[in-house]
Amino acid sequence: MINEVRRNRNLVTDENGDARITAGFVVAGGITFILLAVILFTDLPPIGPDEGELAPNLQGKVHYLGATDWVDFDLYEETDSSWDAESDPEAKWFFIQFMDTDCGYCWEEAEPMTQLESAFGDRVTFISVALSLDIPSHSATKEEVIAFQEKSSLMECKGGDTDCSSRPGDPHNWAYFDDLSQATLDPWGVQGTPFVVIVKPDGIVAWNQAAHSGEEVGNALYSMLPQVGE
Amino acid sequence: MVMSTSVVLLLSSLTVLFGAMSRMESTRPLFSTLGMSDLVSAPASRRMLVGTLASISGGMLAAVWVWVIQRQSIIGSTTLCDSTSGCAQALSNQTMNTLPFSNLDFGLFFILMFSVLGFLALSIHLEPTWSKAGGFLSWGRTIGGISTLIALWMTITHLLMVDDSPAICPICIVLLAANIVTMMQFNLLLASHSDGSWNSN
Repeated sequence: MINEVRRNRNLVTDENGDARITAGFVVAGGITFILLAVILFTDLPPIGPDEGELAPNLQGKVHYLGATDWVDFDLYEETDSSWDAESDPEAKWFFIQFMDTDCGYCWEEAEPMTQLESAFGDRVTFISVALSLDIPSHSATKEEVIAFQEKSSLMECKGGDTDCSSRPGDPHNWAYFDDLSQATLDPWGVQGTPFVVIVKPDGIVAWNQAAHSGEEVGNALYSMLPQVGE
Repeated sequence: MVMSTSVVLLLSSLTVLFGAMSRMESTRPLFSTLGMSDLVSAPASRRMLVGTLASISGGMLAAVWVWVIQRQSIIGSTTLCDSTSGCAQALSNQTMNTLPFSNLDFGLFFILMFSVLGFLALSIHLEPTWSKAGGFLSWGRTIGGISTLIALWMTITHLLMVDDSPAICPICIVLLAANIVTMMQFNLLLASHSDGSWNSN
């Protein structure tokens, strides 16, 4: 008698559990299939700073030489995912330099950058990503970045006590990307400055300085660019 | 518009439309045509449950397509929309096509929402006489309402805030319609369950 009451009570408590279990399995199975299908269907290359990976996006504000404002920039809007070297050898590559206006090495690198841009500027888009590393006496501001780029007078460069107008090289007539918040450090694997990554027109990393210790960046760039007119 | 996207648009639109019309008496013969003869004489609530599942399926299909386009657009272009079309203009901006205060893509968000709604609707469809069906219907209405608000926000974003606004993305409009239809269906089903007409024709 007691067992029968308990069995009836269990039936009431367990009312229609099968419906929810079935619905749960159907929905879980369906969503698993959908997620797998979407991920496989949109076969994106892995995103990262290593060679062969899709370069992480640079999305933010840039400053151009002589401009009064910082303007929006999106690296992926500049790349062409369908680029083919044979059919379009003249498409522009990207030379992305990570730098810090308070870094002595970046200060010295300013002149070679000028020379590289004058040599390759018609085939390569130069971008300097301005960081402010967490190092004592490194505290760059937007004004300092502009002064460094334009070689204008501001007593804040190279550790905070040097006039930006005295830096080597000419004023840099390419985009300076504002990353004083260091948002690009992790995605791009930046360990120190200056640091260079060369990106193909389709956004794929072609050369990462960290993987080519001692190699001269100008030679690397020259050897990688498709030969035009051959 | 690219062929595959046009087909998806047509399929999802028809499915959502079927969901919206399932309550009407004139659709009874349609259930027989679709191989669901037992629903022809079933209570309106049972047909509406199937209609709700249909609008959820249509919304899910549209959401999947939106997410695929969004994922392709990560690299700057998509093969599923012409570069000058409304859908490319609306969905190519990654930062504008995520849920506010998070980085969840709109497409993925709606897939998850329709999954939950699908579970609720399917549970009741499989066991319409369950004593707690009203609770599930109430949850469906609430979740459908939240999802509809987000879909409205997405539409406003496309009309006013993306770079090439106003950008009219047809598949996103179907997604919004699927959300509205699903929410309304849950609302009507809840009303039917509450006023005692759940089992009447």
